[in-house]
Amino acid sequence: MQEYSNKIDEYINIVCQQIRFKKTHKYIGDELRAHIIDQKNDFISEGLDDETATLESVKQMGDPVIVGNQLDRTHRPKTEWSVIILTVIMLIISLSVPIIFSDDYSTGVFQNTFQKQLFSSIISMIILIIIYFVDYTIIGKYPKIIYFSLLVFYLFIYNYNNSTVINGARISIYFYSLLFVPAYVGIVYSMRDKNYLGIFLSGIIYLFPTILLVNTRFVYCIIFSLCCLVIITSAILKGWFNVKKRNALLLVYLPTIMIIAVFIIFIISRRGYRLEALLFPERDPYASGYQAMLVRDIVKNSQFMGPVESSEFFGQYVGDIHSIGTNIPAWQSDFVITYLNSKLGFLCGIVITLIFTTLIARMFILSFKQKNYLGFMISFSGTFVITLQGILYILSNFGVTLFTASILPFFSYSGHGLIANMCILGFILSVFRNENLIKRV
Amino acid sequence: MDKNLLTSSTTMLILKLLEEKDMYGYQMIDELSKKSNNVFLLKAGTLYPLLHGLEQKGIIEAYDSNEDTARQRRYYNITKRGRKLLNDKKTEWKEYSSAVNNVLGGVNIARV
Repeated sequence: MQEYSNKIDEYINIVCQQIRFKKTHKYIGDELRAHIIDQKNDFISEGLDDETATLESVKQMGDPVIVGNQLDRTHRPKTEWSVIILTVIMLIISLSVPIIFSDDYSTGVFQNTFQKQLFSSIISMIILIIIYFVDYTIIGKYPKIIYFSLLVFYLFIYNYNNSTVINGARISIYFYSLLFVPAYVGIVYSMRDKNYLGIFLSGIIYLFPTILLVNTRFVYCIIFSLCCLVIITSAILKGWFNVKKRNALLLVYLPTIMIIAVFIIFIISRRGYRLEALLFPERDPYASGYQAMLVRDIVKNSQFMGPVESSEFFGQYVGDIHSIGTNIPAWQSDFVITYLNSKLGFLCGIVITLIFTTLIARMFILSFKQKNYLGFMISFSGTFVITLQGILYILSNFGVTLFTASILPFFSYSGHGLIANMCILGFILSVFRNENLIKRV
Repeated sequence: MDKNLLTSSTTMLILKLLEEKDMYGYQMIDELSKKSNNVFLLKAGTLYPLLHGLEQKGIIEAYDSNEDTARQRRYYNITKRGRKLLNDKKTEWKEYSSAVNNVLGGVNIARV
C-alpha cells in the first residue's frame, strides 16, 4: 500500500511548488491528500486494485501545475498599504517640522533633531521589515524564550542606566518596555491549555516587568498593565483557557481591583502631589503645575488658523513661544503639537490627530477581522498600546490633562520610542499580511 | 458550457449543498454529481480554489473534524453572509433562466 502513496506525495508537491506562500502548503496539502485518498478508496470499492486506484485518483485531480496556479492566486499575502501609507505620512510630517521651524530646533539638545530622527526612521524601518518577514508567529512558537530574553535585556539596560540621573536618558530606554506587550501575548498563548493555573501563572509573569517599571517610569507601567489586562480578558472571552468565563474573569479582576485600590491609596497618601500635578495642575500653578499651566495658556491663546499673537501668563505679557519655550524643557519633543498649534493654528494639530486616529482606527478594524486568534491578539494589543501613548500625548498637548512626557508614536522626536513602536507595527503588519493564509491556531 | 456561467453558478450550487449540512470537498463533488444526474462533474482542481476563495471572503467557514468518519477532514459551513449570497444568486438565476426561456419561446415555465 505504501509504495503508491509516493505518487500522491509527488502530485501534492508539484501543486505546492506553484504556491508561493509556503505557510499554506501543509494546510492545502492535507486537504488535497484527504481528497485523493477518498477517491482512491472509492475506486478500490468499485473493484480496482491498489495501484490502478492510486494512479486513477491522482489523474482525476487534473494537471497539478494548473491546480497549483489557481490555489496560488487564492492564497496571496496581503500587504496592508493603508497602514503603511498613514505611518509614512506621519513620519514625513514629523521630519519636516524641524526643517520648517529650524530656528526653534537650533539650540541645545535639539540641534540635530532632523538628522537624528531621519537616522532613527531608517533604522526602525529596517527593523520593521525584518520583523514583518520573520513573522509574528515566532511569538507563538517561542513565547517563553522571547519573553525571558526581553526581561534579561531589560534588566541589563535598567541596571546600566540606573546610574544616570538625567531624566531624558532614562526615559528613552524604557520605550522598549512596550515590547513586553506582544511578548506577553505569547505567554498567555502558551498558557492556554493550562486552565485556571494558566491564568494564575500569566498573572505572576505579568508582575516581572511591572515591578521594574513601577518605580521608574510609572506611566509605562500603567500602559503595560492596561494592555495585559486587555490581553488576558480577550483571551478568556475567546475561550483560550477552556474554563468557565465568569470564574476566570473573577480570578483576574478581583485581585486587579484590590491591587488598584491599594495602589491608589498608597499614591494619594505618599505621592498625592505628583498625581495632582498630573491631573489638576491648576492647584499648584507656580510650582508643580507650572509647565502645564503654561501649556494651557498657549492653548488658550492659539487660534484655529494662524499663529499666537500674544500670550499673557498670570496677567503678565510673556511674549511668543520662544520665551515660553525656555520655560518648558524639552518642549520640542514633548509638546510639539502645542507648538504647531501656536505657530500654525489648531487646524494643524487637529489634522495630525485625525491622521493618527485614522491609522489606529484602521488597525483596530483590521485586527477584528483576523480569524487567527494569536494574530488577533497581537494586532489588537499592539494597536491598543500605540493608541494609549497617543491619547496621553494628545490630551497633554491640547492642554486637557495628564501632563506627563509621552510620545505620539511615529511622530515624536525619540529614537528609541520610534524604534520600539515600529517593532510593534512590524508585528501588526505581519498579522495583516497573513490574514488570508494561516488558519485558526 | 460557457466557463463564466459555470463558475458563478458553481458557487451557487456549492452554497446550496452547504445550506442543508456541512460537508467536506470530496463529499460536495459526490453530492453534486448525484443531484444533477451526473451533469455536473466538478473537478477537485476547480473546487478547492473556489472553496478557499469563498472562505477568505467569509462566505463559508472551514473546520477540521473527524466526527463522521475515522479520518480527519476539512468541513465547510455556510455563514450568514453566505446564506444571503445564496439567496441573491437564486433570485438572479430565476430571473436569468426565465428570461432565456421567454426568448427561446415554447413551454411557459411556472414562475416560482
